[in-house]
Amino acid sequence: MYVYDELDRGLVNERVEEFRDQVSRRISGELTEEQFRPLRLMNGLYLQLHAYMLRVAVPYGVLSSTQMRKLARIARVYDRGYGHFTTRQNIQFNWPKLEETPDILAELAEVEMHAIQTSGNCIRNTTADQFAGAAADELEDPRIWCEIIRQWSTFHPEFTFLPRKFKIAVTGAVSDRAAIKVHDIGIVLVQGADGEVGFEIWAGGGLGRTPMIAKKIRDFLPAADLLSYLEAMLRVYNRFGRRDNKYKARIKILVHEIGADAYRDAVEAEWADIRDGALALPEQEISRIREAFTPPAFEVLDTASTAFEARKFEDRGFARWVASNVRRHKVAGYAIANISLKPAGGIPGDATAEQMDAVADYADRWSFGELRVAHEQNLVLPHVRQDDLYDLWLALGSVELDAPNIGTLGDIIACPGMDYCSLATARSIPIAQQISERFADLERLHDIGSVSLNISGCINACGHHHVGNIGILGVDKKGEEFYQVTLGGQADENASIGKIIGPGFASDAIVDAIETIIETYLSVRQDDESFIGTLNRLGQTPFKEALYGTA
Amino acid sequence: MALEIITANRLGDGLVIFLTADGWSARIDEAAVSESKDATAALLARAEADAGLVVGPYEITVEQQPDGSLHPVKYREALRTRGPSVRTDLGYQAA
Amino acid sequence: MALLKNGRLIQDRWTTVDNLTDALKPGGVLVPLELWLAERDTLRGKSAVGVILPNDADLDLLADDYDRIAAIVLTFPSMVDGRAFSQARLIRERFGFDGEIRARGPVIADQYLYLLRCGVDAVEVPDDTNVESWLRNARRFSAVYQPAADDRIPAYRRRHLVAASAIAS
Ligand code: HEM
Ligand code: SF4
Repeated sequence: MYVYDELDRGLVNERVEEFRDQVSRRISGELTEEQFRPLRLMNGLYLQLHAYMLRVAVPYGVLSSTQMRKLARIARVYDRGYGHFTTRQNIQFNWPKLEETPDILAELAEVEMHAIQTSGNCIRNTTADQFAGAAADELEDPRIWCEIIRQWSTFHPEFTFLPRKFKIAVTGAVSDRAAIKVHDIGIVLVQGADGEVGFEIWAGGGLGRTPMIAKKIRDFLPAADLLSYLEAMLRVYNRFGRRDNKYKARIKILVHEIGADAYRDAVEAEWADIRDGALALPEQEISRIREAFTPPAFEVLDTASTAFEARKFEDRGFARWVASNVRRHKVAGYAIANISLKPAGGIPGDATAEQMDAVADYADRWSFGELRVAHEQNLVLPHVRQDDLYDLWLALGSVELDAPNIGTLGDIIACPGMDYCSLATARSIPIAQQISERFADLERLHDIGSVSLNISGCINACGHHHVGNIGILGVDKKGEEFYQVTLGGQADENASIGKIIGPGFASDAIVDAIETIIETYLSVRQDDESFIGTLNRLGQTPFKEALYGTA
Repeated sequence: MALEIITANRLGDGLVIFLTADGWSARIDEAAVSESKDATAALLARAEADAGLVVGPYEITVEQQPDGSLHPVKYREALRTRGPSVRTDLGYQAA
Repeated sequence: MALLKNGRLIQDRWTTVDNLTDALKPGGVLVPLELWLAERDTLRGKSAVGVILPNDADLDLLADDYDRIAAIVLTFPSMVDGRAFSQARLIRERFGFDGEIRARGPVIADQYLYLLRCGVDAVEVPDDTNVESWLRNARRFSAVYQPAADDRIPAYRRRHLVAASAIAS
């Protein structure tokens, strides 16, 4: 993991003092709310329905056990004993007091964490593949580049008051687990003609009220040019992005309105001027950061473990958990263990302080002290010996974190919705709870197989509903909660936006509607075809007919 | 006209509060009630003068029950008087 | 309005004018971009002329003028409209302008560091401004992560300078 040097540490501490000063100036009346709001947002502090909400950055989804324990402590001491992991690999606390947030930030700084730029119209926390450094299909660890971007984007003097928020995602693998095509900028690590690592650059993706898939802007960018190119991309956006309407202010609208070619031309022209300037990354710095992500001291193990195979044979529950929650690791004898934060009937993404502490202990015992947050709102132990998986699974069971449902219909992404969010038009959590309860039977869940179901409580799409195989959007229809269903979304390398299937459903009918969709799939699927495979083969018609009749 | 009251969040802890005859309260039933546009505007002006104590005051529509208690018409506002529907152990509803 | 410049609150000696007659009176004047473009041959003769730029102005319009203009006023219609931050950097870094760049609009102390880093060296502020608050913000951070229009060395270079000089000494 990246470890702060004195420069990083100084900056984060100074930021805490800056915010302490801002909070006291707000309380004393020197700052108005209008002036204070953008400042608090840039420190992750929102005002929600019931209270403030603090969003803490988990840079590119990486946490140490020490950091996780700190999050647990903050939940316990300053909040109500829990936190909510988000689709942007961050964590949110729902009940902090304004006066106490500087203290929370000071505690976070002790473990090299912060809430810098987790909101506001600036460059947000850069997200990455949650399996970075462990994935078998990875070209290079994307975290190296995420950390470089994190530093460059932090307190960027030119890009702190952009037209709108700005999200960058990076993947180094063939399978895109970071949803890079629905980000303002998506970066894919690729190999150049001479074998050197560089970047494919995408821009203009996004969800919200105008969902768009990003356009490719460049096939290959040399590694040393990363920051100058990003600076050119941001500068064009800052100068020419729309500011007259906040719903049209994202870069996706700029790219859409002027066209990807015109945007690319403007960026390349800007870049030509700064490419050889001070932003060219020194090789020493790339090496320094690359070293921070040196793999841990893996043991030399056999690919197959007889003990592990025997455990799977003996214990069906374990075998089922392995089948759904464990992924292949790049090092022989190791595995990636996903920890589902989606127990049937639970609140997606929520974890208690006790669970956070427990998971931190498991990370120390079985995963080199390392943890990840996945954009699907789950946790990951990235480096577990196959031989330790059984003990891990038992331990997870003791804190109710052993739901064997990663990638299944039980693994629902849901935003906080109207239960917490002041922008919501409907609740999303209760719908997620009802659906996961309806499909709680594990035989059935695993028979249904891989399907993503995402729920947002309003058109802002924080729950990624557009890119769920099944998407649910909560709307307000004459004062009643109503739910629109989309089918066919995908967030991976085949990213696509789902299409609305028909009229929406009342809150007491939406779960039945989902069940109808799933039953339809089961009745028409061929062999081991996935839900999305069936949908792509047959289109929406059979589902429409099942839901609304043939008339 | 429908009955209106003024709500906001308290600056210090962000909790939901309501404008009363002489200050602010966490209890909706203590809210000062307006029955006219002008009265609402006057209440709102009073609320805005407290910008050093509260954040984002706005008016909401309520119904008065026979027992005198006030109930917001919108579900969103009802939730604000209670807390998250999915965590009944939290917020005002827990007290 | 006063001017915050070089760490001090000073009286603003420039007058904003909107017509040629006033612009040609003695003393420093700040003129709108259109007036400059329409009358630049006349105005060039005068030493103390500054140009007020809207934040969506095409900076190439002044490409031949930067060495003749004494000051440029950048406009912030609100504190969150950050277009002029890019303008400031381009005017300094691309066009090499070395006169005064001032910020006009409701910017606040908490943005001072960003303004300075982008090349703004003067800010129009109310007379009763708490200068200490502004200066504290300008000095707050002991390092920077990125190069800008100032001469601060970004962390990714400084780290290795420190290392190199440590080895050398
Ligand atoms: C605290 C309450 C929240 C507020 C006020 C909020 C606000 C918003 C808004 C206004 C947008 C639309 C932006 C646009 O289209 O320009 C948005 C998008 C988004 N938010 Fe949130 N959000 C909140 C919570 C969350 C949470 C909890 C998550 C993660 C679970 C999240 C993740 C996202 C994502 C992934 C997007 C869509 C991607 C994009 O196009 O930017 N947000 N949010
Ligand atoms: S999608 Fe809407 S309801 Fe859900 S968190 Fe985002 S803004 Fe709130």
